[in-house]
Amino acid sequence: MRSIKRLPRAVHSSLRSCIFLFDLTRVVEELVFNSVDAGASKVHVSVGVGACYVKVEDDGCGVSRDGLVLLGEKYATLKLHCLSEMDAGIESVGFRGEALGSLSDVSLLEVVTKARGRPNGHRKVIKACTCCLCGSI
Amino acid sequence: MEGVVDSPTIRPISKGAIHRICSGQVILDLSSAVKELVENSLDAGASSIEISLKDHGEESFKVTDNGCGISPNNFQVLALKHHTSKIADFPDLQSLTTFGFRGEALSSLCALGNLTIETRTKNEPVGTHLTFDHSGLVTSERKTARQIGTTVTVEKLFSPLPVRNKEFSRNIRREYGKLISLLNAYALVAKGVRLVCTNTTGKNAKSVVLKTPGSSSFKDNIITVFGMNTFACLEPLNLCISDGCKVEGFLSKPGYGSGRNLGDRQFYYVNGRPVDMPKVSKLINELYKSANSRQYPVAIMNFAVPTKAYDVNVTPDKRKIFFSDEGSLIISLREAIEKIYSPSHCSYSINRFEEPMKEPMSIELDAPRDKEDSKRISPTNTKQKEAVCSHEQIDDIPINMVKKGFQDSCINGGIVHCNEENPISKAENTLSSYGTEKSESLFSYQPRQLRTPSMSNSRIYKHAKTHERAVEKNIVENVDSSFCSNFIQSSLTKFVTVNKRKHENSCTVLSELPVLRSEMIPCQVRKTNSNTHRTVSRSFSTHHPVDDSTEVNKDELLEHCGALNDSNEVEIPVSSACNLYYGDAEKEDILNQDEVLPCADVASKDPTAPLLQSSNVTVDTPVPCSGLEICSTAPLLQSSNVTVDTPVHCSGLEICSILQFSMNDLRTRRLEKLSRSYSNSSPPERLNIKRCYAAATLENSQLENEGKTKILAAATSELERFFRKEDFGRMKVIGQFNLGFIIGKVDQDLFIVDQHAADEKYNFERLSQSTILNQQPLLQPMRLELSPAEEVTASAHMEVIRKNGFTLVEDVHAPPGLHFLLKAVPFSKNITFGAEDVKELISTLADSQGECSIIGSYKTNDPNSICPSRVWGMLASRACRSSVMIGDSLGKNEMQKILHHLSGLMSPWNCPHGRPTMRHLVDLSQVRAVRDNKEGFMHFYQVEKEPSFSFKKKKKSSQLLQFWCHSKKKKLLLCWYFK
Repeated sequence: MRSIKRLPRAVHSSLRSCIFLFDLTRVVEELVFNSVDAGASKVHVSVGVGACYVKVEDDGCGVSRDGLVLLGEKYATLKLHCLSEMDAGIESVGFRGEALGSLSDVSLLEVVTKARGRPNGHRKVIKACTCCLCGSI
Repeated sequence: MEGVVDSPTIRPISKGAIHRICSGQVILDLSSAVKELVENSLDAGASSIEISLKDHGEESFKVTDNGCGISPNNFQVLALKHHTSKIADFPDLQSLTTFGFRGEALSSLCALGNLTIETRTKNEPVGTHLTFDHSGLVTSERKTARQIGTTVTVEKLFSPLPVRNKEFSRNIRREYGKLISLLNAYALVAKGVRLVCTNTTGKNAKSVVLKTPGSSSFKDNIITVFGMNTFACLEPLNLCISDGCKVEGFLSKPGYGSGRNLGDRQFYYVNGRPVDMPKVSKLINELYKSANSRQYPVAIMNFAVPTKAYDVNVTPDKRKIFFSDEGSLIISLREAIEKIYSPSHCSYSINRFEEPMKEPMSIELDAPRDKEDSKRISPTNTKQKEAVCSHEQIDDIPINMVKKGFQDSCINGGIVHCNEENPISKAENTLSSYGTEKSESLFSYQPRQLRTPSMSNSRIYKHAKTHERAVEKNIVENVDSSFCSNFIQSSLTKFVTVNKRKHENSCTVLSELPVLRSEMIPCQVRKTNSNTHRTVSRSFSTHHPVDDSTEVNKDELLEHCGALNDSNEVEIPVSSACNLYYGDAEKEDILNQDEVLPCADVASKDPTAPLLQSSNVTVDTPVPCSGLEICSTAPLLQSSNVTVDTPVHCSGLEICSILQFSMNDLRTRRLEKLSRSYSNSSPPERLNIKRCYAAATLENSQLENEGKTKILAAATSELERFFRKEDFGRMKVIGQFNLGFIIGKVDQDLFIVDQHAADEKYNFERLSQSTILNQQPLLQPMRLELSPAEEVTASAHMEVIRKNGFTLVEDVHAPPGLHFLLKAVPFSKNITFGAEDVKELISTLADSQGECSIIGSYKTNDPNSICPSRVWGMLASRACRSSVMIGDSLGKNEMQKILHHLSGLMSPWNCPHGRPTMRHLVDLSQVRAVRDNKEGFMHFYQVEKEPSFSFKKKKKSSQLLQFWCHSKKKKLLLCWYFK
């Protein structure tokens, strides 16, 4: 019998992402959930089925520069932080902190955001849970 | 900071929370928890897996295997997340051969319950007991004694998740049920693995829920899990689908009664992994409808696919699979399965034969060995597969009629007539006979049975059992005279002229006396009969027309007769006649094996077929009767009426005998016979005719059951008839029956065709091809309110919509939901279609997206031929009205034309409303063989049937049709059951 070894992080991360986001519908769904949780009143979804391209725009609260640092990491979320909150019940639609991370595993992810009341917007490009580019626009 | 308030910062979730969140996704319920453990055991190469549940799994569950065990250096990381020995990198998924691969199961179980593991590999002298905490770390480790292998115990599953825990407790029964059906799936597919599942509730002893012996074939697994009855309804499937994809498994046979009323027995596997394949399932269900419109098939299919060609990492429970090329897989699968449930050929006759075959199979097996024609075996129960008893004549002689009348019991036994040719009738008959305790029932039964062939062969030994005359009269007159006589006549006429003479003689003699004959009873039967008769003249049930029966002992017969006579108040002459008869019979047997007694032949040839007919004949002139019978070897049941009228009848009469038997006995006997016959290739029985009487059958009977299945398979293949729709062109019209049915002949097979259904189907297909829907442009285009999804469908299928006569124009600038304008609608004659119809069409299209769907019940070969249901209804109704009706008298040319039309149809087997157009009636070669041989063998056999079968029910559900057809200037009366 082969010995039991830990799977590389990238491997188990992708394994999980494949399950989490197994089709286009699911991808869009997760993004729309995010928009809804951000209190958006307008959500605009554009899909290029052939090109495997999805864009979701909303007018929600946006993400501040501080938040942008962890954004895209798996299991990082603003919706839940400890077990007690989970047991108490969760009000937001999402809570696992997996959507964007998983999305970056299965695609190239670009996030453009401007937090309410901030002068600058920010852009972050993520691939496989690692930041490729992060800057102001 | 305002911004901060509005958008709280993103922070990592605590590790414990992550673990629990993820674990909850891996282990959803009890069945997935146990599934992971069972799969681990299978991956470890275990050949024995035992699952023990406590309180249905609520308290704890334990999976014990004898696999390779876990080596000590793995203990620390055993239950850690993402630790596995099954893959090392992502590309390994492409060549995955294990069930598991994510390294999450044990760690998730740790998080959701209390996990302990005992394990030992072959390298360790003692086992180790490990306890884990919720995070997957080992908290204690101690030595313990155990076999090589691993035991995993999980207690209090879901206790850390309050909501799920509550749900879990509340639905534990349902969870338990799901688990059992999942384990069934593994039990079916795991070859060479012994799987045992036990449950302990409270302080009760543990009960075994599932147990398989670990056989090495799919087939044995199916028999173990579902039983022989289910397996008998399955036919093996071996397909080779494109590029290395193979499908192995079993599917229900076509024909009513082969399927299940629920679609709950469908198991799909990909390389041995149980998966859900909704598209395949839908495909098979739809295709099966063409062969059996009211039931779902049992499907057990394993897809052997290259590991590269699919992705199993789709859902946490791994039940969903993505194929790289599912479309072509489905298309090839559909083609292959269509051949089985094909509308284009043979589904009908096959159905017929197959049904009978299933149960008769054993008999058939025997028959081939015997040299006799196995062909005919099929006693089919058209409607009841389960028919308990069927008589088959092994030899050419198709008809077995057993009448046993006891005065006391009156008619205890049902009358069974069996024509091999009409398997259906047989089965029904047997059934009916079974149930019937009343003479009335007997009557009804008898008519059903087809007797034709039997007459000539009649080997009938008659036990002269004296029945009360009244009884006999009733039976004879009612049943025999009406049905039998007719039947007999036909058979006689057809078959044996020689026999006729004999029969006539016998008839004349017999005619006066209503005769009950116990025809050849299988040895055992005979014994039993004799005994029973002696002991209990009243209960025929003791007689087992079981297969075992070899020939009746003369002595026994005599004794029977005597006993019967005594009991029955039989006239002395009768008894003497009987005696004489028997004696003669014996002599003949000795002298002529042919005539010898069908019994002897039967015994030797078909151990299974017991032909005992205790014929109770109340014969005024017993002597002639016996002589006649012997001479002709024809079992004579003669209703006085029949005999008197037509000597021919007499011969036919022979057949009728009333057998009384219990279903269980029959069943068991039959099984025994089958096995026995199987085992004994030689006909020792024949040799020992006398011996047969007594014991031989019983002893022999208990040989093996295993040979049976093989034999059955062989028999089935022999019985199958392929009827292609082109054969309709060759079908020769014999005549019209009852102003509603056309009797046609193809080669040696008689078919009955529903004239209305056939013509209606033809008209329907013609109309659906030729009807042109005219377009009516709308003055004011109508805006269709469709959901966005429907609009997507509509724009993708504009062609189909246009072909159906609707003109839709898309208005891109309109708001969503109002994109389409309806500009023209179709109409045909006085029927106009509108917006509702186009909406329905669109929803049909949406429903059927995907290659596998079959839309509508007609034109199944053309997926583009979708039309609104109202159009279909209109066509069907027009077709119906323009067709020949039941009750219309048809000339030969008209009938020929109807048959000819059928050959050109896409799917001639059902009318648009689903009624069958054609059924197989009888195989004439059987009949002929009978004539040639002049020997009749009665084959009694029992179809697997529940003992609880109720005759009355049957009676109501079926309608007896009698028809005459003229063939070769001789009359053939066939009795047919229709549902």
